[in-house]
Amino acid sequence: MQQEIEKVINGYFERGEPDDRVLDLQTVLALLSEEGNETILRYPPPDFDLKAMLMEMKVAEPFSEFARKQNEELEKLIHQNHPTHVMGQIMWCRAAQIVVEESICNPDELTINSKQWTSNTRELYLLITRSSSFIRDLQLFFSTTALTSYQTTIGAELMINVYKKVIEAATATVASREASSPLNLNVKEMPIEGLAKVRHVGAWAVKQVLNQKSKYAKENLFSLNQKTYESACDCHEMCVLFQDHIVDNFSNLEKTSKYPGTLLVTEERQFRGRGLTHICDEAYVFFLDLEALRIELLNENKLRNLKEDTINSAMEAFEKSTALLSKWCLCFPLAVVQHNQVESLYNVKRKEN
Amino acid sequence: MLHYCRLTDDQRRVFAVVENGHNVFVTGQGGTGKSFLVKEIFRTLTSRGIRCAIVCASGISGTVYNGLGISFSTVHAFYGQQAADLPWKLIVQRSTAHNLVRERLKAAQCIIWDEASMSSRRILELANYIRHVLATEGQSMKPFGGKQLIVVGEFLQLPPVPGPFDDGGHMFESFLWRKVLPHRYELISVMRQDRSERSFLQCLREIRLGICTETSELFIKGLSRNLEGNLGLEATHIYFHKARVLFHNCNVLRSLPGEFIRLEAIDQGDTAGIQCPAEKVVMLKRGCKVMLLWNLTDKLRNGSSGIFLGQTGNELTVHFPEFGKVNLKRETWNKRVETGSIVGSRTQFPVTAMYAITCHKSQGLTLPAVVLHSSKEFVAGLTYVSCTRVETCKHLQIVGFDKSQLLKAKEESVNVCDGHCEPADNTTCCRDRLLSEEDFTVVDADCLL
Repeated sequence: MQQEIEKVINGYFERGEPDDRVLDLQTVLALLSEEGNETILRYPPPDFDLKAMLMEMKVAEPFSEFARKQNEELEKLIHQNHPTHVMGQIMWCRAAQIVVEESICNPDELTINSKQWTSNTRELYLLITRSSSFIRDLQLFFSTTALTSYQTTIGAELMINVYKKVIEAATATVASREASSPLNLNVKEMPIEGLAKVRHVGAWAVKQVLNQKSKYAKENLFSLNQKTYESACDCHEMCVLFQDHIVDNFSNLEKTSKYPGTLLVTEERQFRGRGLTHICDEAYVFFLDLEALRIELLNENKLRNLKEDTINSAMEAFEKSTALLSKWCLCFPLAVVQHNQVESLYNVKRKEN
Repeated sequence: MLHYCRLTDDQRRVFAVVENGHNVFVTGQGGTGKSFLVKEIFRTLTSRGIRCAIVCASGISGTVYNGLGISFSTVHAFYGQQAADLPWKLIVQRSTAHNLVRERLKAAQCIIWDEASMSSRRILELANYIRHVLATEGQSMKPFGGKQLIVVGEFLQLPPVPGPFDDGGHMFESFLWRKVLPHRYELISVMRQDRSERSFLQCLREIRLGICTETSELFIKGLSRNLEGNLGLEATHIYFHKARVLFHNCNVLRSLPGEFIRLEAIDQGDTAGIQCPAEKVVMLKRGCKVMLLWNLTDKLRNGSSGIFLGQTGNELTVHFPEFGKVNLKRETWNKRVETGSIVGSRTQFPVTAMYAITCHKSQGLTLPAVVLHSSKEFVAGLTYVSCTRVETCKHLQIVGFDKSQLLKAKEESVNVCDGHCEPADNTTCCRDRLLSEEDFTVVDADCLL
């Protein structure tokens, strides 16, 4: 955090000396808006109201002289004909400049939340109040070249508040972009690295099920409860089917697989001492189709509409998919498929839920 | 010379090289007479006053020499390596400080290392280093301290099991292999004359390479019939996966009369992933068939089978056919970390039900009858090792076989005799060859990463 703040401070002060041109606020705003960044952060949202912020800054029952003087200055800004709207936009642009240009460059990369950014207000205060551009803006705003301590305090506090608003807007924008961005991913046309990851995740999932089922089977092998023993036997049968038909050996697959490029990620991530995690081609094709269905079912829009029913709905769609079931059946020999064991494996997760 | 005429031409060739004092490596599939040759070498050299020691990777694999007046020990015991689960320097220190080990190694003039495929590259390097430390003056730079080394084994069987410091690499992958064992021979001639056995051996010749012709496939399918007479009842079932062994044993135990006796291990510290053949919970019934998982004596070894008679306090009573009633106490297996310190341990009775065993556990055993439950191989050699646990195909039933289950053998294992050098007139080509300082080291598994 400290490092980030230092980066921002340095960035802000390394812009060079301010020029001597005297500009009005409108011109400053026009210049800031033209600085090339088209981001939405350049423009405050319609509900952004600097006057309301100034009102909130007033001390309700001022006891000190400083607070009274500060309230007086605030009153002037609120009730006299000050260009608060333009000043608000400028402050917004300045804050956006700090956030976007000096620190993260691309709002899509904004992963630090507003709480983290504003937690160290001392550094932020220093950043803002030592900026020559900011002082120049305040001079224009208060129409004076000699700013009083009340004015600079108001300006700094106001800027910090605006800065927080910008951060809120930035995080909301990123979240909204992520949520609304359409998922046009065609799973089967992914580059080989992506396909290899699907195969790896499929193999990982198989390994998880295998470990879980074999642990249950082993622990309940000698159970005196007949039903528990029978479920242990079922789990064991399932493990046997997985080991015999889904799991495969790398050296074998390397020679026979139709998709040899997809084997590498799994091979690289294997833990040698913990058994095999490669899956056969048929299982890979199944997981590829499953991933395509998952992408289709679990996009953000559906999540919004279906809310807590999303998973159930996706599971139902998965179970009803005859195409996927066919792919799953292709992983096993006909005798096993005819024995109805494969369908029960296909529906195993649902049963557990 | 009494038995010389009984040897095949292949065997004679090896025998002559051994007689001249060279180190040799001998391989060949089951039925080509490797053990027979070893016995002949042992007898001949011993009769000439040369002190020979036969060492095997596992205690049970040496039982082939029982009753012949030939003493043997495990490689680990012979070199004082114990479980070899420490960094190599600590093993060497411990081993060379042991008087019994020192005496034993000094006495042996020829070491016959049988079932070499089950011993790893690291174990070979450790043995060489220990011998280097204990070598007499003028011999220390020679491989194995200038002692004659005869290595026998078939690398198309299962590779050694990896451990915390051992990558499980085959012996021939060691930097020592080329220098210590330049004379390598494969026995080809099959000693058995029975026609069905010859077909069986032909079939094994293919399976060991991971291939299976239609003829062999038909032959194996023919072995799916039930075993004759009592063989079916006596047969040990072999599976490739441990879970299937547990289920098979459980189902047989459930079908037996009587109450289960539950033997729970005493686990201490971190036992996650502990390499221990004993299960956390062992369930037995009186009268059930059990297998010993510990080398108790020179003759009662890891792999010996017996009948469980019952539990009295902290002891189990097992009847072993050749030794009678034996009381077994709990034994402790440790889990160590890279520094060699113990982080966890399991204390359990060293027995398990033995109606079924894994292929890995069966390696080195000769069984009266076997039912192999064939499934997809996850390492090359599983089917081959399982099939070669019996002496004839009459004692073997194979169920669930499909040739697509076979994995091709590694080329390095197939071509292990490549690079063979003809022996020189003297033994400076192998036994008396001078090694460099760099050759006296051991590569621990973590150093390979």
